[in-house]
Amino acid sequence: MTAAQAGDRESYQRLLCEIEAALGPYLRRLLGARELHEDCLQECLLAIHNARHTYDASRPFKPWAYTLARYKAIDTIRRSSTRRRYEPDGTCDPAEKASVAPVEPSLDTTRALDGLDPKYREAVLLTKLEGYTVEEAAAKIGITRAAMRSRVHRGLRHLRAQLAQHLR
Amino acid sequence: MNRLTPAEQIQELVDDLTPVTPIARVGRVTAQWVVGSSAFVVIAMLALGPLREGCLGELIAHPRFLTETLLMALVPIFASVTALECAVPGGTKARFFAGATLALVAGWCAAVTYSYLVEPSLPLSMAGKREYCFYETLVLSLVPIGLALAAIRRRFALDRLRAAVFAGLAGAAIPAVIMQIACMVTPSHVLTHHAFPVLLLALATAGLAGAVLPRR
Repeated sequence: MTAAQAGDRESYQRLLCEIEAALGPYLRRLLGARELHEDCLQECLLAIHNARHTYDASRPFKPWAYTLARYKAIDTIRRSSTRRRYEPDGTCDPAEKASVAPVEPSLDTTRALDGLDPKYREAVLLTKLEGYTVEEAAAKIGITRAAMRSRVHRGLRHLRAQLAQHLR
Repeated sequence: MNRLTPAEQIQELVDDLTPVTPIARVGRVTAQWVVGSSAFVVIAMLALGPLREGCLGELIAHPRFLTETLLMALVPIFASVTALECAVPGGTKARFFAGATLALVAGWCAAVTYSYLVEPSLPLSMAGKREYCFYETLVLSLVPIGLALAAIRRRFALDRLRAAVFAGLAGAAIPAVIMQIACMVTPSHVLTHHAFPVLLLALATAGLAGAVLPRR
C-alpha cells in the first residue's frame, strides 16, 4: 500500500488482487447471498482506493482493510433490508423484476441524470430506464459489452453520489 | 445486475491510480494541535485580560491545586489522541485513550468537588475574576475544536460520533485549563463557569458530527 500511495501501479495491482482474494470469502461468510457479497466487494475495493491516503504505513494493513470491509458489509446489509421493505408485493425475484415495464424517473433522478457525462447517461438510460440488457444496449450504440458495463457502473456511481448529496 | 468483474474493477482502479500524500501520524498531529491550540488560547486570553496575579507561584506552592491543574491539562492530549484514533479504521488504541481521558476528567471533577465540599485547594478568593470567563471558554474553544474536526475529516472516521465528542472535549479543555490558572479559584465557580462549557461543547460537537464529518 505504501508503494501504491507513491503511485506504483504494479504493486497496487498485486495488492488489490490479494485483497480481492482475502475479502471475497470473508464477505461471503458475512453476507451469504452471492449478489450481495459481489456488490459489497466492489464497494470495498472502491473504498480502499478512495481512502488510500488515510492508511498509515506504521500500522498493520490487514486490520485497516478488514475494518473497511466490515463497515461496508454492514452498510450493504442495511441497504438490502431497506430495499426488501419497499419491494412491490414483497417480491425479490429477479425474473419478475425483468418483466416490469420501464421505470419513469422521478424529478430528482432526472436532474441527477442531466448532470451525468453524456456517455454514462446514455448507458444508464438504456439499461435502467428503457429496459435493455447490457448486450442489447452495447449492440445498439456499437460498443463492447465490457465497455457498456463499465459505463453503467460509473454512471450509477456518479448518480448515487449526486443523489446522496441532494438528500443531505 | 450490471456489475464489473473483480478483474475489470481492479484494472479500472489501477488505471485510476495517482500518487497521494499519506496523512501524518496521530502522534505528530496531536503534538501540533496541542501546541498550536494552546498558543492560540493563551495569546487570546492575554489579549482579553491579564492572568490572575501570583497564579504561577500558587501552582508551585499548593500541590493539590497543581494536581487539579495537571489532571485537566492532560485531558486535551488524551482526548485529541482518542478523537484521531477513532478515525483510524482497525485502530486499537481509541478505547484505551478514551478510558484514560474519562478517568482524567473524573479525577479532576472529583478533586474539584472535594475542594468544594471539604477543603479548597487554594484559599477562596474573588481575586482575578474574569467577567466573561464562561463565554471566553466557549468562544476560545471554537478554534481548537474546528482544527481538531478538520484533522479528523482528512482521515477515515467510521465512528463519527465518538470522534466528534472527544474532539469537542479536547478543544474545550484547553481554555478550561488556562482559566483554572487565570481566573478566580472558587471551586463552585470552576465547576459552573469553566467545566460546564466543556460539557456543553463536547455535546454540541457531537451534535455536529453528522454535518461536519463525512459519512464514509
